[in-house]
Amino acid sequence: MSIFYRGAGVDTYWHLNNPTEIGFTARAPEVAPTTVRLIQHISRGTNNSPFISLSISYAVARDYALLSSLEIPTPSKPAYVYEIEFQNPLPSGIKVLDPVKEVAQTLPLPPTIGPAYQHDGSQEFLLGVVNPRNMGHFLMQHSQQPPLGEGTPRPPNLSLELETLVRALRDAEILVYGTIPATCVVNCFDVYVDMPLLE
Amino acid sequence: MKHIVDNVNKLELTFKTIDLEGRVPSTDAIEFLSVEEPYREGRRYSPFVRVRYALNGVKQDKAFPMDVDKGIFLSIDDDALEEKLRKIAPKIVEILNSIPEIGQVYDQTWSVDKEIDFKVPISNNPDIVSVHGPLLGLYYNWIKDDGILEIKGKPSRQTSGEFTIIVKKRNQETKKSVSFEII
Repeated sequence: MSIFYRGAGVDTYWHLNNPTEIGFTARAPEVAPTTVRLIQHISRGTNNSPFISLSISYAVARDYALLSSLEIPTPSKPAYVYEIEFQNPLPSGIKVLDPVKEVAQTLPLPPTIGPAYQHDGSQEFLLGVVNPRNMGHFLMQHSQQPPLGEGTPRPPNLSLELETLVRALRDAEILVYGTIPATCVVNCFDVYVDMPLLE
Repeated sequence: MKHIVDNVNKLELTFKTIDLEGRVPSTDAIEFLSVEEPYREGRRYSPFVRVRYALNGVKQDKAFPMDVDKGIFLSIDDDALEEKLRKIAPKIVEILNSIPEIGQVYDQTWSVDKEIDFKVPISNNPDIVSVHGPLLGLYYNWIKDDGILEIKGKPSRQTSGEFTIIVKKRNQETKKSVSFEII
């Protein structure tokens, strides 16, 4: 048995439509579930995705519910965190994917000629990827090269794959391909922001 | 299915407002007014913000939620609207990233005649950093590469007071006041 969570902000689709009646469906279930689509889904948030995002973390799902709301959730109009439980074997027609593993298995082995997924910046570069809002200056640092090897000054390389790995780990994210049956949605937690004050 | 109210995991937030008026191009009938950033215990909380807007000149109660890390709007079910907002998102991220931030500073309790020495994290690489307040021999050092402001000095004989940290980047200024008490 595995338990996952999904946040639904106030007045968003899964707040207005009850997944305990209709299950969870992807925005574009007809699209083929390729790794390229998976990468786009996580790093670019494309609507044209056949995947449904869940999180292993209740805290992440709660923050999605609270802060992806169109209105600030209150006790009288809360956001929701759905608890989704999968038994073994999985319901027919669905696949549960760990995006980190899915991306990792497509990465080239080191001798491959071509761009690497790794960055070529300092050890602090990853801090900028993880937290661009507070540490974005690390993304802009000059990518140092060996003496006599300098080319056009540029920031370090950030591949879509590395960005996807970081974002998936940020959200403890798990993807589902296929419709999640209503019977798998076992609980709904009402969540709200405590005493919000606008400054 | 029963709804279970989560009264256990309290999340108290305040929202800091950043004015957008005139800084982001309007799209059709939508005018972008401001960004609300959630703060918890004085620190920025989560990569999500809310973008307030006016529709046909009328300020809306609802807001567009946005994931600033990813530079995308969230929860937009209308594909045509989502497409329009997608072009606006990088401009909002750029504005947010231009605002220098002062990290958590707790109010201070110091002893008379003892030199104080503490460090404050500063993000987004401000152009100007300054500290003002009643500290004897006030010395501050902005270590740009580490994003750290080091402050040293001796409290004057006042029993309590306040000093202010000011950071500026282009036309954006952020201030934080820190209260202190001498024991």
